[in-house]
Amino acid sequence: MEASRIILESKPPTCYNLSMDVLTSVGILVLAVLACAFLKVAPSVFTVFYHYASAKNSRDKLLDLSSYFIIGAEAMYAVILFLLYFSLFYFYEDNPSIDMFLPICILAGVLGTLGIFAWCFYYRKGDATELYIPRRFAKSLVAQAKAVKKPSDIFALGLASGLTEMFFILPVLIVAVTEIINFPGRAIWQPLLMIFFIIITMVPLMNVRKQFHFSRKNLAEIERERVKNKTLHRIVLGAIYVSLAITLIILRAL
Amino acid sequence: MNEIVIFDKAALSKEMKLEAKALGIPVGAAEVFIKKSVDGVGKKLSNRKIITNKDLERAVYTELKKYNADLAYVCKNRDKIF
Repeated sequence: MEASRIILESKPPTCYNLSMDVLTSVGILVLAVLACAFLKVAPSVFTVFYHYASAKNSRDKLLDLSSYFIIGAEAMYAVILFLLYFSLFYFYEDNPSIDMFLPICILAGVLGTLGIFAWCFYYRKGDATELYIPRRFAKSLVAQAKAVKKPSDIFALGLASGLTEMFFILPVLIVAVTEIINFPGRAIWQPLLMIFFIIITMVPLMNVRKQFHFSRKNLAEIERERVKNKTLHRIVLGAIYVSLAITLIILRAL
Repeated sequence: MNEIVIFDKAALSKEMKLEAKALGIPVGAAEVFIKKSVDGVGKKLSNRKIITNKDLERAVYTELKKYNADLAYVCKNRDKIF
């Protein structure tokens, strides 16, 4: 009787801790996926590619060709996500009792800095949506996006555009992978979360394709909309990075 | 950044035609107003000894805006999408 009373009393706090931990992980993953989905380089390169490709191809062919770009960009995400997963997984296996306070603080610091950077410098000044990336590099990407014709080149352009954002993506992916590794249910939940992460980061590219193909908007209309929303976008992106940093400090470091 | 450019009517109209096609503007109509715009740009810049990319961009935008606002916008911002 006494023993069952102790079990009954001790069960609720255990459940509460587990569900809180899962909820925290899910919350951090949602913030991480939002941060990746709000980045603009890959959707912008895709917009330029789609615009120029629409002058040379039929609508149906364009739909096929644009899939290669999306697959390329997502392949880059997937490769980096899986590489990080396996490196961190084996790192944790080899060092199970490592103190994560300092690495988490450094990561949170980097994320906070990126948030402030996004607020201040993500878009250049002016009435267009020029991003922080070096102009010469941006021009070469525009030239590539204008010229590509073969599916393999389009795939490579997608890979390159995914790689361009690494500066912003890598810290977020490290956070996401750490949460996925510590998520309960290694066999089912962890692969599912990885797939969920990759699919959600595909949404901005699918949205660009939807705007061109189904909503029949042109580059001028899409670009005017972006210019109108760029201040809001900058603030939201910065806020996501800063809240990710604060969440990490409060819920994972302290 | 201001760069000195050479005003080439044929190259400019070729670029404009590509943009017009991408925007879905009918080819016949586009050819007519692109020719008028390029002539207008030529007249505007004829008395300048040095032409910078900003001068050319501004002149192209002003001339094209008379006929098609979307094409003018895209020609002005084509290198500023990201």
